[in-house]
Amino acid sequence: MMRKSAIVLLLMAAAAVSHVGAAPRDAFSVKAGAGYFYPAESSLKKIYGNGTGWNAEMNLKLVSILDFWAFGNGYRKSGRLPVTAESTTMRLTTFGGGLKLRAAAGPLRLYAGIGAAACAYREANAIGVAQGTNVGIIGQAGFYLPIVAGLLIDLAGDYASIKVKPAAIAADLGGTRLAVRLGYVF
Amino acid sequence: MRRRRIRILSACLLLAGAASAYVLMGVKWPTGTNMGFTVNLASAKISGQLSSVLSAAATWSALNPSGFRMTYQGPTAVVGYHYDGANTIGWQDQGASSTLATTYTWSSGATILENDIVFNDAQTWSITGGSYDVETVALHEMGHVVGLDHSSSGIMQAYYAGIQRSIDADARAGFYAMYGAPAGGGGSDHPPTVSITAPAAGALVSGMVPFTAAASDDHGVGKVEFYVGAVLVTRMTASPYQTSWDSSASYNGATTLKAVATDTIGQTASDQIGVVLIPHAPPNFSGIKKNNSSTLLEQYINVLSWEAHPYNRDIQSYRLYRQDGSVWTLIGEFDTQTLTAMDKNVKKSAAYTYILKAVDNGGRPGDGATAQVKAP
Repeated sequence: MMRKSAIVLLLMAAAAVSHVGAAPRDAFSVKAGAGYFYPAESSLKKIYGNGTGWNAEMNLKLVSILDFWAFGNGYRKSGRLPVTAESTTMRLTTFGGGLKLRAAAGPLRLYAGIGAAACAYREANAIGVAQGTNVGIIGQAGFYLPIVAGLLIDLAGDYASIKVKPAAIAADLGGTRLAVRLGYVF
Repeated sequence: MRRRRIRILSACLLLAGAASAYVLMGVKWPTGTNMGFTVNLASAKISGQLSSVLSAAATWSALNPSGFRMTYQGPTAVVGYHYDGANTIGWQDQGASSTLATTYTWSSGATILENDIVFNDAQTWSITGGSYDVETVALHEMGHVVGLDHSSSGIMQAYYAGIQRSIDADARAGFYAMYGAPAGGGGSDHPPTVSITAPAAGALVSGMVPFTAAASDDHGVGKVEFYVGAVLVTRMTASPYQTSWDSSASYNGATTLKAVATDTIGQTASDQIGVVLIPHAPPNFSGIKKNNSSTLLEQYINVLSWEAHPYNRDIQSYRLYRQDGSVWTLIGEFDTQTLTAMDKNVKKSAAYTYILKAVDNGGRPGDGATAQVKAP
């Protein structure tokens, strides 16, 4: 599963790079900012809670209103085990990419896309350590507003589903993420 | 008819005793009298005093039943003292004076016609060995009933000097002087013998402890009393002298057990041993299985809790064991401030059995409390 997803991502990246040289203005943008993560898994939410993390992405125009989109985000929190109250930490680092459709509405640029997400996870506490990487799906929608001289401000929301089962417990490490980013469009 | 009122006993302690001889009041019941008496059970603040009163009456009656004896005829509602032909014993608040009890005697010539005994209900009474001991005071007042006046020591001294539930030789001699000695001669009666046969001296005991004694006397054993410390556990008037001590309401540690045998003329003998009451099982020991899992890592924990036993003292720790097959595995030893424990990494679907023991300062583990933790 993971190998297949990686191949898809590489093909997408290659397609994107092949267009870089011919890209007109608005054909490439980068964004970075902060995201606020609402975990889908109840135990993740109960032990660690919602939380902020870094958030970044790049978009590359492929054809007309279709963009290639690559992203990364992170979530790292600590909490307490429910009975013993011992410390526990969770780290989620997600990278991925996909395709987006873009449309203009006045000064706003609306977009929505879908793609694959690879999540590297690590949970450590007195019980032990669970870590690994799994691939899931992600969908995103949002808009950005060009400000001045290529600068833009971007608001986006995404939902990911990344199911893992490193041992006895299966969990979905995805969830909903809201992000606010500043970017630059070339 | 001459009526005579006699105040008998005050609350002051006798500080020093002197060599004494019995003193006669000059009046007595006719020899051979079987004096009936009634007891007002409702007039006292305490309860359970009837057995103490009857025990005192039995002690006097045992001296020489053919010379004089007292027979309980049942309860009465009469309060106080009245010359009414009925010998009554009861309680009445006589105010916060030093008087513990008063015996009122009505006589004609040298013959007693009636006696009423009134215990002062303003005093604090006990039937279990505390002050003031009902049986001791009843034994004294009944000495007046038979015709003995105060002496300077023994049961007939005027002041309360602690528990005395037998008739001393001086009072006994006074009784014999009035009513005669029993066949065989009271003076030649040898004291009884008694020995505790269980538990063994130094034994570690707990729970219901068999407490037995062997007693004998050349003219018969009147009663055998079993004490734990200073507390009377039971009084037995017939062999076999066997009882059980419920140790659940006694403090753990070194404890003295005593058996006191009294023969028919009030002579006593005692035997005492020391035993060690091991710590009581901690009460309300229970457990529950809880899920301590994080998001990705599973762990189930048996959480156990208990309480400190109110009669455990000098406890140094608690030991927690888990049953693994036929083996008891020590899970941990906890200080006395700890009243909960966790057994980690147990199986989700398995049931477990635990035993918890309190350990005293001598390193002696006590009775175990058992708890079972079932699968959720």
